[in-house]
Order: sequence, then structure tokens, then C-alpha cells
Amino acid sequence: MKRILIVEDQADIRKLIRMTLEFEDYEIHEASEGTQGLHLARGVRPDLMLLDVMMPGEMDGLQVCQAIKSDVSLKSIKVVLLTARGQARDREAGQTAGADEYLVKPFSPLQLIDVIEQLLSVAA
Amino acid sequence: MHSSLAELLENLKPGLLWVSREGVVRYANGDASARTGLAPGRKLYDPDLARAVTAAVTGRTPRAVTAMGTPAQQGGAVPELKCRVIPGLSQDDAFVLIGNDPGADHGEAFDNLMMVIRSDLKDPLDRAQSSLLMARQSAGDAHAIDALANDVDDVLQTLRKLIDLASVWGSSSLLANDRIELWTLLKEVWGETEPLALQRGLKVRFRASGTSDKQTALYGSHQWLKRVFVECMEAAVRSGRSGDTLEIEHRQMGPRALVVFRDCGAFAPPATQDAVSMPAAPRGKPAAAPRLAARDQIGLKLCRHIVSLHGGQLREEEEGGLRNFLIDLPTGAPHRNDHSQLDVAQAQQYARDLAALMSRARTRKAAAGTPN
Repeated sequence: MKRILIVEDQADIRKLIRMTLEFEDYEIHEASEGTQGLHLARGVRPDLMLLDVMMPGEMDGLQVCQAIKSDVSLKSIKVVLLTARGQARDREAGQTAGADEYLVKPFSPLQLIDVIEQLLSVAA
Repeated sequence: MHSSLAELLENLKPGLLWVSREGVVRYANGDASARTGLAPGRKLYDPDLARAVTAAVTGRTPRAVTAMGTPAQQGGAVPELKCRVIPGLSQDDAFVLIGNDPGADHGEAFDNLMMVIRSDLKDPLDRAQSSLLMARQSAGDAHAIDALANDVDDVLQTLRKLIDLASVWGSSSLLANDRIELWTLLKEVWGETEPLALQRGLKVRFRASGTSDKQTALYGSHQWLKRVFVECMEAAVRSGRSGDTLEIEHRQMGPRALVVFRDCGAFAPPATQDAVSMPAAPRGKPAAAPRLAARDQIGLKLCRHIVSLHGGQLREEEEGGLRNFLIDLPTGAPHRNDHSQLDVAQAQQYARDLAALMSRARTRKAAAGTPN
């Protein structure tokens, strides 16, 4: 079973994402802020991370993504950034941080599942 | 009226009338004109409002009153206007704030703004006026012209800061969600402040605690946060002496970023910056409390307001006998709480797609031969 780690500070959004993923067979883990998400990623070794960009705390989503992609032992984790910021320069920042995909809120659950399936099938 | 002050008043919400003790309109901004039909030179037609103005001018205290407005269309209903009357800039005038609820935030904000104008603009204006008189009397003496130029510059800088203060007071210009890397911002700010530091013979040393701190991200208005850092850095540079080295340190404390101006005297009254340079008080007269220059006072108010709208604070702290000035801001996510709107939009999107999601899951399970 593929492991997915959701890192999102808004509990309601986290719940909606979990609900979406529960339609499929995934092992789901959750974190509510960046540092905790990075810590959990090191422990759980997920196949994919859904990472909110703007989170309170020491690390925002872009910084967590950079940390994941610059760590040899973690860089194979697929990272999907979730954000309310959809401008070209924001996407560019996501690309620079090494993100594999970028979803702008509000996103469709169908779109979310499609993106996850596509990334995990490439990884398989 | 000075064009800067006119701009300041025109941009204020709610509607604003500036009236004399007798109720003659001296100034009406666009919003007030539309609601009341009044223009400069005309007299208040509502007796309750006129009485409230007289009472506010005489008693120097604010008054709340409901007045009749002017219908939006000919033959339309006469609207009731909730007004707040506050004492004006001199002893014989008043301001009338017109809005749906002028007693709430806007009224208070405007009171604060008027207090700033009354207390902080008076001295620079008085100084400029006496310099003007000196310049006239001295018939072109270079020193007098120089002093006049400095004083006029002081007034203009103070007015410019007041306009900025007015434009951020409603906070709508702070709704940006820019991602701001603090270290990069500090470098940008130094680029703007360096000429002043060079001119005053000061050096600045930046320090960050830890390498990752250089990447600390804030969310908010790049324009206004940059303004805060420029104001604070300029105040620190202005309070330093030639040959000083100004130390600015960036610390990450959990979910907060601190920028510390170490023992720099930023926004401190002159006496605490350099007690020796203060003139002695005349015998028998208590020494007046040292006061910040008007532009620093307004700059500090502006900075406090911007930082608080970003969920942070400005403060002073004692550390090992040093008095540090700190900018404390939350990192990682914008302070503004617009989550609920986002949640609603996301929930609506889910509601629209939920049926399709369930149907797709059922089809897949059926195809895989799994009972539903």
C-alpha cells in the first residue's frame, strides 16, 4: 500500500483531503506544520507528500520541499504543493524548490486523485 | 489647504466634513458631499448636527448624532446619517465623520489620526513659519534660507508619513500575501539606507543566528513590511554617531522571526540617546520630557500599525545592560485570517465533485471485482 503524508495546517482541508484519499487504498499520515511534516517524512518515508505552501512555523511548504529534495535519502518522495497562490512566479518558486506538481486551492478532489495516481505510477 | 493634507482627507473613509464652529463647511471629501449634498462655503442644514458641532467645538469632546442626508435620487427617501463629531485642528472647528457606523473602528482610527496631526504637525509647522519670517526679515541671508529649507523639508516629510499612515489605517492595502524572504528583504532595505549611513559615517553589521535563518519566509505585504524595515533602519542610523557600528541581528524563535537592532537608540527620544547633549533645564523649571521628532513619532506609529496587522509587534528589550529595539513577526503563514473563505470555496468544490468521486470509486471497485 502506498503511503501519503498530508502536511496542511488547516484541519478542515486536511480532513477533506483524507476523505478523498480514503476512496482509494492509501496509508495516510498527517502533519499540521512544516517542521513536523519533515520529521514525519524522515520517519514514515512516504511515497508522496501533499504539502501546503503557507503554514505557520519555522518552515513553510517551499522550505520543506527544498529540504526533501536536497536530502538524498528523501528526494525520491513525490511532492505536490497545495496553495492558494496561483501566479506564475509562485509556480516558478515551487519548481525551483523541486516540487513535482502544484495544485491551486480550491482544487477538485478528482484532480487531486488524478495527480496522485499519475505521480505514483511514474514512480512505480 | 496643502495638497498633501487634501489627499489625506479625501482618501479617508467614512465621509468627512471639516466645519467651523458656526457650521460653515470648510472642506468636504467626495463621500461626504455625496451623502449630504454639502460643499465648501455652505452651512450645515441639519439643526441636530449643527448643535453637535457647536458642542464638540466648545467642549472639545466628541459627539455622536443622527442627521438627515440627501437622497441618492431625486424624490428618493431621505437617508439618516450616523455622524460622529470630533474637535478639529484649532479651537474653532470640528470634523464630522459620516458613515454606517462611524462610532466603530473608523471613528477611533480617525481620532487617532487627528491626534497625530494635532500633536505632531504643530511643532514642525511653527518652526517652518518662524524660519519663513526670519528668511523674509534677513533679505536672502544664506543661513536663514538654509534653515527655512530644512524646516520645510521636515514638514513635508511629516506630511508624507501622515499620508502613508492614513493609507494603511484601513488595512486593505495590506491584504497582499507576498512571500518575503527576510534576509533578502534586509539586504534590499540596506540598499536604500546605505547612502544615509555613509553620509553619517556609520557602519552596519548584519548577523543571522544559523544559516537556515537566511531563508526565513514571511507572508504579507512586501511593500509595507519593507517600509517598516526602512523606517526602523533609518531611525537607528539617524540616532547613531559618526564612527558607530550599528548591529542588526536576525533570530528565529520558533514560529517567529526577530530582527534586533542592538543598543541603537532607534525611536528613542534624544535625551536617552545622548544625555550629555541635552541642554540643562532653567532653574526652578522642571525639564521637559524629551520628545521624538515628529517624523519619528509618525514613523513609529506607522510601523507599529503595519507590524500589528501582520500579527507582530515592535518592542524594546533590555539585554545585558543594552537597550535593544525589536521587530517581531510571525513566519510561515499570513497572519490574516481568510481561512474560512478558503474553506468554503474548497468545500463547495468538493460538494460539486463528490458524486463523481464516489461513482468513480464504485466503478473501479466493481471492475476489480470487489463488493461495494
